[in-house]
Formats: sequence, structure tokens, C-alpha cells
Amino acid sequence: MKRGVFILLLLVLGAAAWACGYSWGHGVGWLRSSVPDMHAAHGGAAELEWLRHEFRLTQEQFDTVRRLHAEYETKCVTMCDRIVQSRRKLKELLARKPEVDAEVEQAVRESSDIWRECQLAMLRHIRSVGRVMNPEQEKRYITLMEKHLPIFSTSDNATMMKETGGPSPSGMHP
Amino acid sequence: MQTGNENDDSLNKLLRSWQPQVDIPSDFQRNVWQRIEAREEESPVTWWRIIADWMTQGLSHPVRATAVLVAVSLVAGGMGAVQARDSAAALELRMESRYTASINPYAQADARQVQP
Repeated sequence: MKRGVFILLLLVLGAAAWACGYSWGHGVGWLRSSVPDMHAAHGGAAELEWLRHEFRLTQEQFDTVRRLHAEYETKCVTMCDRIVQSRRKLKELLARKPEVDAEVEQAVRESSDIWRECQLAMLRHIRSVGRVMNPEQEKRYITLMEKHLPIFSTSDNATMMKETGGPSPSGMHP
Repeated sequence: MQTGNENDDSLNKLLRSWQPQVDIPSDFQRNVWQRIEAREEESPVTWWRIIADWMTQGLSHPVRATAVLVAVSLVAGGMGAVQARDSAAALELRMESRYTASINPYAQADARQVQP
């Protein structure tokens, strides 16, 4: 066998073997059948598909979770609007005022109130989604989700608490 | 006038009659091989050289050639599977982040403020 032909055969076989391994890894090994769904789903559906796959939800559980998610989404958008407005207001005040007067205090207090409301709304949503699942799934879901709560974000909250008497308004990304 | 063929013939005759007197030492060939061996010993033995030598030798041994092909296939297949696992893990992590962001109004506010 000539050397060139042997090397070419080696390359072709190697590429084919790599492709087989990759497709086996995708289809059989680790991703099972839900990955095509995740890829195919757009917008919020992809995240929910991930939830269904990760917690092996039944169709009934998934339908309830989807309904709860849709209900919460409206509240979440409203809270997001309030956060953005509150931040904007605080930034404008701080840019305009050299001193921390009553107006600034009030804006910071409002920001803290929104922060508290958002934490509670998230917690309630997480717990209500958890209740749809069986005890084992619920425990895992709550543990996984609650570690993402802004209240457990440790980076700048301590500093912010000291300065304003309230938690950082920027949540996960202070 | 001479043609091209006649010129070639006379040149060939001249070359055949020419016998240069060159003294080649009796151990010339042995010295050449010794120098080649010495040069080969000087060059460092690297892992890729060992593999290249082994594969080149494999060309003349069907069993070894087959072993090389099987080994390369197994390694490539394994690499493909590992890459699929890594990309699956990355996708799952991305989806987890997206889901948690979808229920976190602060993450959404951050994303909205980052957008121009």
C-alpha cells in the first residue's frame, strides 16, 4: 500500500469515526431525545424544555409548570420595568445632587422595596413550581433555583447594605 | 553539416571512452554509513517520530496497518463522543442560565440596560 493512500485512508476513517462518536454522544449517551427539542424551541419554550428534560417532568407536570411560568412572566416584566425606572431615577438624582438628602433617601428606599418584592415574588414562584413536582424533584429544583436568587449574591451586597441601609438594587449583577 | 543524431552519437562515444582516474578510499562506503548513523543518533527521538516510524513500518505489515487504522478510528470516535458530551453539558448550562434569568427580574433589567 502506498504511503499517501494509507494516510488518506487514515484521515477518512478518522473523520468518519469522529462523526459517528459525535452523533452517538448526541443521540444516545448524554442528551437523549430532548436536545433536538431544546434546539428547535424558541424564546421561553427552550428554557421550559430544559426544565422538562432536567427534572424529567411528566406532560401533566409540564403543562402546569408552563401555565405558572406564563402567569409569572407578566409579573416579572412589570417588576423589570419598575427596576429599570427606579435605577434611572436614582442615577439622575445622584448625578444632580451632591448630598444624600431626603429625596435620595426616598429613591433608595423605593429601590430596596422593589428589591424585596422581587425576591419574594421569585421565591413564591420557585416554591409554587416546586410543588408541582414530586418531593425529590422539588428538593432538587428549589436547591438549584434558590442559589440563583439575588438575595444570595454576595459580591457587592454587603457594601451596598452598609451604604444605603438596604440591599444592592442590581441583584445578580451588582 | 552534422545532424543532431550524429552529434549525440559522437558525444556518447566520447563519454564512453572517458575514464577519469579518481582514487576512492577502500572504506569510503563504510565511512558514509557511519556518518549517517552518527547523524541519526544525534537527532532527538521525539514521540511523533516514533509514531511516524511505526506507521511507516506498518505499511509493509498488513496486521500493523490494520492496527493503526483501528486505533485511529477508536481515538477519533472517542474524541467525537467526548466533544458531543461537552457541547451537551454547555447547552444544558446555558439553558439553566436562561431559565433562571427568565424568572429573575433583575437579570432581565440588567439585560435590558445593556442593550443599546
